[in-house]
Amino acid sequence: MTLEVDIKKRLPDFDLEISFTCKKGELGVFIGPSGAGKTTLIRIIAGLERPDQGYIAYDGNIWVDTRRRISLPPQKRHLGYVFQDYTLFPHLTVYQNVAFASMDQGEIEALLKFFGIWHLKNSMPDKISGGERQRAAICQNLARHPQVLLLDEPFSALDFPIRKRLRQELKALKKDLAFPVVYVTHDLAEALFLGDNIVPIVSGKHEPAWLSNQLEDVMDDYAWMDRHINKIKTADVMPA
Amino acid sequence: MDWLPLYISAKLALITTIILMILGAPAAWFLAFTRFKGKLLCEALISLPLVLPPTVLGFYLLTIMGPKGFLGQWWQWLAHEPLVFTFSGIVFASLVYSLPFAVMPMKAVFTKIDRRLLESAFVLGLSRTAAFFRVVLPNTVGGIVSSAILVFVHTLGEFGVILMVGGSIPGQTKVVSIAIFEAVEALRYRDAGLMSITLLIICYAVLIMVNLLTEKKQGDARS
Repeated sequence: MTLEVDIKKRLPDFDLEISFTCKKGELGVFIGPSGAGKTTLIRIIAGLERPDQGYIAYDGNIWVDTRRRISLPPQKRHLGYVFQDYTLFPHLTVYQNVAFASMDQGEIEALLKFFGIWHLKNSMPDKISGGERQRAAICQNLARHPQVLLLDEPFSALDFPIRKRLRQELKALKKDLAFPVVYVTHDLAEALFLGDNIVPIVSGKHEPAWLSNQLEDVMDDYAWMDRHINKIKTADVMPA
Repeated sequence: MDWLPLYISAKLALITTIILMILGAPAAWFLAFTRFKGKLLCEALISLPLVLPPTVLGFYLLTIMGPKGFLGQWWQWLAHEPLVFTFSGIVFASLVYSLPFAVMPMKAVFTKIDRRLLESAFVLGLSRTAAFFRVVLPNTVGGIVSSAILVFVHTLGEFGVILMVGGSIPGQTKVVSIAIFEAVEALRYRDAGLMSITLLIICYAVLIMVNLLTEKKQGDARS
């Protein structure tokens, strides 16, 4: 069961031109600077935007084929999509939000307990924290039993400790997932920690050199911190 | 004092409000989320009764609803009765007259809804219709109720268009504003005063309700 994507789309500043595959149980990461076309790409996979050319298929089923004028609506792709910022339905409780995607009460309870938010089941989305909202959004999308799970910078708006914890939770969960997961991020550590298959994107194109440049920059930062670690630990101010 | 005109007005306002909410919501939804050629013209046409003198609107309505007008002939064929100078006729005129009060506020409310909520609903498998009822309506109910109240009050006070299309037939088309006018003409100031104060109290109470709803909505948004 593989997600195959090979699309082209003209954007205002550049052409988005990406080809990649992601297998069942694999987590594919699109990484790149802001405005590189990552979110547009994930929206095209979700069916919320259309490519100018190309095809998208999952497990042999064509979702998009521009030559044959096939384009399934999002409803028929049967996928999960966790947005960059929280898109829980504001008029429903956490439990009702998850129940929006599944009527199986036992499963909803198991999911909410797995993510540690069972005690918030009757809370409204605006009364819980950002991390809890993203957990609930992931529960909602998992409850749908998606064929493919799309995660668009799901933790980017959260503080570092919560981001780190959610990242670990996702990694633990990934082992049991029987579908491909596509993850968009601009955070290199997140990409390296989670990704089985990392696709760097710059101005709409696959750009492997960007990843090695970023790695070099990070290594330089670590080397600098390593040199100054004692000062950082003891001083109130950062060393010059 | 004759309370029948007030009953006719209330009945007219209620029927107009119900029909306009049913027809206006999909129209507002369509205008809020669809781009098409001539959208500006279409919106201007819907808003026209806001700026047009009621007598001008009434004149054109009288022309198309009369025995020789296409709408009058169609109604005659359908209901075997004329459209002008009947209650059905003033309902139709009110629908046109109050249309912008239903469509435009609802369009504004729909436009404000976070599009990602809709996209999330689509991804979770909901059709456009299901998303409208399960996501859009619950999150815009305050705005929809406000526009329903505005339509109701606006129809309650209608005068010019009704006079042109319906005349003043007691129990049929004689609404409260026409009754007040006739009472003043006949120097029955007590009757005119009683009907006027009743209308004033109703309108004032309704506006307070709209303001309360708006404040509640803003309070919810802030929290």
